[in-house]
Amino acid sequence: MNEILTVSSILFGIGVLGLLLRRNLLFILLSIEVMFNAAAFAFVGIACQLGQVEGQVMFLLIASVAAAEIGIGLALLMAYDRIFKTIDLG
Amino acid sequence: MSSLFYVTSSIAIFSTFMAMISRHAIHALLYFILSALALSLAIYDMGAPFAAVLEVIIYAGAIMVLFVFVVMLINPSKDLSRRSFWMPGFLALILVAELCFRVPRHSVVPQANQNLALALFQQYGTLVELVSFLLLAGLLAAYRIGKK
Repeated sequence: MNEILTVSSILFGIGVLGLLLRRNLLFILLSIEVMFNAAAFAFVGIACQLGQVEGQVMFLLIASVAAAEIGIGLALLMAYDRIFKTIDLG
Repeated sequence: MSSLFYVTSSIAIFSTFMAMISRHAIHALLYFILSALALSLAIYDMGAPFAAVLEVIIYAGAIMVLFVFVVMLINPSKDLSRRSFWMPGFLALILVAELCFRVPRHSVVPQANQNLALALFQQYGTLVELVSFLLLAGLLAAYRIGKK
């Protein structure tokens, strides 16, 4: 169980660092995806270790939230690009 | 944890890191697809085949294709050297080798899938309906924002 949590926290940390350090909207959305992925991995891994199926139900929820979020986020990114002609922040 | 888990999760961590530090968006997306595939293999190895398939379909299939479309629309890449595809290709080959090594010995337990289906559509049926509402709302919002 420790290994799963370690891998998940490392992935989440990479996502947080990318979110804080990259100044590109596309990479920011990608970092958010990385963090969603790490959280979902932790859910599924822990639930499998405990022999429960609720982790996979939670994975369905997290993946759907990620899909809806990324659809809206990419639409916003394209609107931003249409207005400002760039997707770099500041 | 089996040793395959360590190899797979190392590939996942490495490719996620490479995705975060790559300069071109397409390279980052390539590495992130690799990371999703590696995580999917790790999830499958832990005994959750439904979540593993969902990871491939939703993350590597749907979300990354959407990203690639947007990158093609807003930022047509100038210089994509073929050299930068070697590393992801090599790591993907390792994943395929692991899959070939693992899958024939690791038969999927039908009982767990049956329990999962019962939990999804009986105990958590409301959640599945709410997820469909959420996806519909996301679709409508993306359409409204994307409309000129």
